[in-house]
Amino acid sequence: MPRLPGQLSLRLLCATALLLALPACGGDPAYVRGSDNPELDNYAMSTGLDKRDLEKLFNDNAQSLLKSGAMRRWQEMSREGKEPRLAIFPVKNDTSEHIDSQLKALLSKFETDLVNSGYVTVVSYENQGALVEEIKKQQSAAFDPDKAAQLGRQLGVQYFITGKVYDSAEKVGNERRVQYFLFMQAIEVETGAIRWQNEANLTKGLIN
Amino acid sequence: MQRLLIIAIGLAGAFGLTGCGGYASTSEAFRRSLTDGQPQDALARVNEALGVDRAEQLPSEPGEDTPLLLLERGTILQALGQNKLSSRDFIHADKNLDVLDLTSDTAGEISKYLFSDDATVYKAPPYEKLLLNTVNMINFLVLGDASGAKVEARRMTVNRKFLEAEQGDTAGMLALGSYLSGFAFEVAGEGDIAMRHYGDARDAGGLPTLDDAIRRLSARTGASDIRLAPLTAEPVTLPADDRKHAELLVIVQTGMAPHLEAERLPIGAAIVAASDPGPRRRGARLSSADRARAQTFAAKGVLKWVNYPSLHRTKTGGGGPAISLDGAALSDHLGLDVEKRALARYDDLKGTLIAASLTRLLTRAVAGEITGAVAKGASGDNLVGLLAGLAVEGAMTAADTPDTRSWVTLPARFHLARARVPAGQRTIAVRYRGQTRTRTVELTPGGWAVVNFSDLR
Repeated sequence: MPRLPGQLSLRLLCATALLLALPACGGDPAYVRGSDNPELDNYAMSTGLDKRDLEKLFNDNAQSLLKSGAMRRWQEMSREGKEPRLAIFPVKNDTSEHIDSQLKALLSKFETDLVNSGYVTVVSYENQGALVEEIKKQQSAAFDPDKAAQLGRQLGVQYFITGKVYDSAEKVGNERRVQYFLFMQAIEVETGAIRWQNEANLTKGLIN
Repeated sequence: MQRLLIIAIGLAGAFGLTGCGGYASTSEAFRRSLTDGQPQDALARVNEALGVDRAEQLPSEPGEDTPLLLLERGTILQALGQNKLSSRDFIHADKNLDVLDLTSDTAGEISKYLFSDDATVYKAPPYEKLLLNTVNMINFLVLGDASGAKVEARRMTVNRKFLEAEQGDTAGMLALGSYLSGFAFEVAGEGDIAMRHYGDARDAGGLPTLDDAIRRLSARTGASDIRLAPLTAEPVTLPADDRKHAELLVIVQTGMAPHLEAERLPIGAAIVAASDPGPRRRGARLSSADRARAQTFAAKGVLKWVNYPSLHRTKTGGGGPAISLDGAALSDHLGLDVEKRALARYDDLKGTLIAASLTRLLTRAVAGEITGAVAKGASGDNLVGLLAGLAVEGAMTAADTPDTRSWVTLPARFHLARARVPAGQRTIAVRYRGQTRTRTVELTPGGWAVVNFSDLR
């Protein structure tokens, strides 16, 4: 009787075992609520940004802004009855991930926090057609402080908040790693001076 | 003993269940619709294969072929001008392929030896990975979204570095992607980065209209790249009213890239092909021990044929398109010949693919002999042994499906025409295989537009 080579016999055995195991696998997917399944928000499903990542980036920046000289100045201005007006411009996505909608969510959280602080007046530009297009271009084009300042003046604001997010993305062997660096700034329209800046970072990965 | 025979035949039946026509048969319906010039019908077919009713839907339970089918649907949607949906499909496919790239597939590798090459997870060849980002860049550029196109450009760079480190040669398919990356950064106002990508495009073999684009960008912005210094040293005088002009890029995608089909090869020819080092002497081939074993089995008449994936040209129209702008002919150039590159790559790999099929065949032959011997020993009956051996070997052969997975709707050729034209309303017409299609774009001073025509017939 011919002898089965050891490796081959192992493969044959494993394949048969796998075949027998197949019917045991499977099951239908089901929709769930995050409130019923708290773990749902905890695990990462992609190398993009999820709720937990956005909260981390937001908290890092909000804490920094709260402690900044810019916020102290705005509080003073507010107490003197000269509440500063500011606008929030899009964050430029310089990463290898399609995260534009997540960045919009991040800015909306920021906007909510500033509006509710009561120290500043946040000016919305969403209804100002031509301006919206110009401001959106800022997200795509190389950041041009002069152009941004001009847009700020057109909006009648003293400050605008903007930012950019970069990544260092690598795929090596059995891993893909994306390191995000989010820089946010508050810029004074009149002078072009950066009155606040902060960097928040986080890393996402796909590993085997 | 009867029990052993029943088990053998039972196993044979179970193995037989796994056998099917493979991806070549899955993709045949939408390939045929496209060659017949019926992209809507092709879309319906690919939706059917994905298990969804509409292009807006993604499969709720992704299957083994889902990433590939999303690539196919993305291409068809792009041909239909549904660029947003197309880009969504490509983004999903890209992420899925990323996961598969990094998956270690032990079970698949084991099954591959016994049953079929397509038992493993699908790992896209380098040119598919790079062209995925390239083709999706076209979607974003057509939508006027330079930011989205830049994301794809960066993804392509990450993939390129990974593929260069893991699999070597990527240059052949890189020039077009680098050129479009350069375009995306140029129109976004990031001249220096654009210049780097243009430099990559030149290093990868260059492309028509590239040198002019480099000179113009240098003259307009002063952007530079050390690799392009000899080119940018020659000054170009821009027209006095350059700011009133806009950049127009027309892309015409034609035909479909070659696809794989299962083919049978006589055992003798297979042993010769699997022992051949190939045109560039690359890839693993049949070991001398396996070659000797294959010759022994062939001499005994146990092995007669090898079933392997063979690359076939998709029958689509030849010739290039004729592009015109406001009625005047616009010079167009072949930017990338995917068909030519895919055929060349296949020539490199053919021997390895046949060797893999032959190795599987040997495994099955050994398994058949062993089963036969065990059955004969237990029953003392030669006929029972023969039947059991044949049942196992036959069933494993029936389950054998050569790996015919590939992005079959990937266009065979990409043609480009680029011009700097006065702002205003412009009409572009493309004539290809007796059919003329037109698009009108509104160009703003200093603006840009990318217009895509896909004709996959």
